[in-house]
Amino acid sequence: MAGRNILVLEHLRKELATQCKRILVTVRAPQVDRINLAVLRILLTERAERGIYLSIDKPDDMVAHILERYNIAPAEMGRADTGQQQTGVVEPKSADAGANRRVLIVSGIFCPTIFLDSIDAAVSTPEGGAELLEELRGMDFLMVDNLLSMTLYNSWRKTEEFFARLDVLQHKFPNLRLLMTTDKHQDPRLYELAARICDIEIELRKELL
Amino acid sequence: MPGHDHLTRIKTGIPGLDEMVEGGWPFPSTILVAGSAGTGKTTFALQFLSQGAKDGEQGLFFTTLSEPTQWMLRFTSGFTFLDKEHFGKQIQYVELGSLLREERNPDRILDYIEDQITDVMPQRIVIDPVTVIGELIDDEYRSFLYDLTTRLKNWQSTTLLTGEVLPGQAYPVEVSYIVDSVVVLSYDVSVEGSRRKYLEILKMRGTNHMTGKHLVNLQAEGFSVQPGLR
Repeated sequence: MAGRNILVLEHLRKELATQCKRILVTVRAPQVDRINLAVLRILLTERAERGIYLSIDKPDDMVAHILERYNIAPAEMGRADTGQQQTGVVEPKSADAGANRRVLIVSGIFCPTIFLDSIDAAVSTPEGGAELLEELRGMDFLMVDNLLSMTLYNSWRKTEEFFARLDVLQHKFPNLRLLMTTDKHQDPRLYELAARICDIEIELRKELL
Repeated sequence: MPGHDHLTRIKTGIPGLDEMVEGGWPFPSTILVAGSAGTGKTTFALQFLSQGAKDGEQGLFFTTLSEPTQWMLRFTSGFTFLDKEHFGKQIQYVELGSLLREERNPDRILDYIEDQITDVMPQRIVIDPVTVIGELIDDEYRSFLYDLTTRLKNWQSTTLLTGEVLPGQAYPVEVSYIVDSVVVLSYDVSVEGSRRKYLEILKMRGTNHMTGKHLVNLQAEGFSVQPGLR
């Protein structure tokens, strides 16, 4: 691994040791994916945490391919692809590890409130509700991969709604750590919105990259 | 066309060009830079990588020609935009020529390219020139190009593919289908006998761009465009 990546990993390891539950990572836009991979490596590979990785516009296969390339994908990986199917419902794929899953990849969703809708809907049904509630209580994190793509597909009203509902979700599941990444200079309004619900900002400056 | 300033953009590294394309290349995207020999494609590509290095981005330069790194460095060392400290660090150089001489299986070529991308994690990639691969794998070239761009989309980076064309040919058509943008470099000879070079953006998805041919200078400082001068 290149020295520059080791530096980034070391920095993130130190910063992610925080007890804060709402973390905003800021970095220049072209570096967002690289940083997200580093965060996922720490959470999934090094700490063996369980969580949900929510990608706004990357197709499911793309996310899985990259995670596998970097040996980050755990065997117990669940995949749900809503955007490609446009059904509005998060359906697990056949490769889903079911209740044993350690990371649930929700990708290509475009409008991420759909994912929150599906959680609300599932929790309210007697059959699936208890199981999903149990699983969510056991999850350590929910990572939103690149906030900058949010406003490409969603109105500002929908974007505000997403953050408000993330806030509610985290209150409902206090063990669930929220992690989001954005570029504060590219879209300051979006950054302010995200920063409002976060407790801590991890800023990755150019010198570190 | 409406403005698209919500797209992430990275600086092109070419003085005068950012103003023509809403501030820079869309990130991520794939761009074809086409032109005949001597139009400045490789210089254009190196400026793109040098700009990335200055902005803290990692660059990966694949050359499909069989030449060692020092050979390219020797010929480009006169350009003032190049910081030699960047070579081997922020700009990594991979010679594909040896592999292409022995390997005709498109999947293995793609795997090799992707292995290098995985190792380096670049935000900027150059394949110079991609058209050489077409001469080697012939019938499978179109599917190779399709698979190449599909795989490149997995990697959040802006990729510049250079394409060699014969005099009179504007751009390699088979590559133009699969990229997001097409930039053509060309030249003509004035009545006084001097050679004038031009840049023209034929296609750029998601970007309001200046159309028509624009005069370019290629000097020790590198490539620069004079928007509006034709």
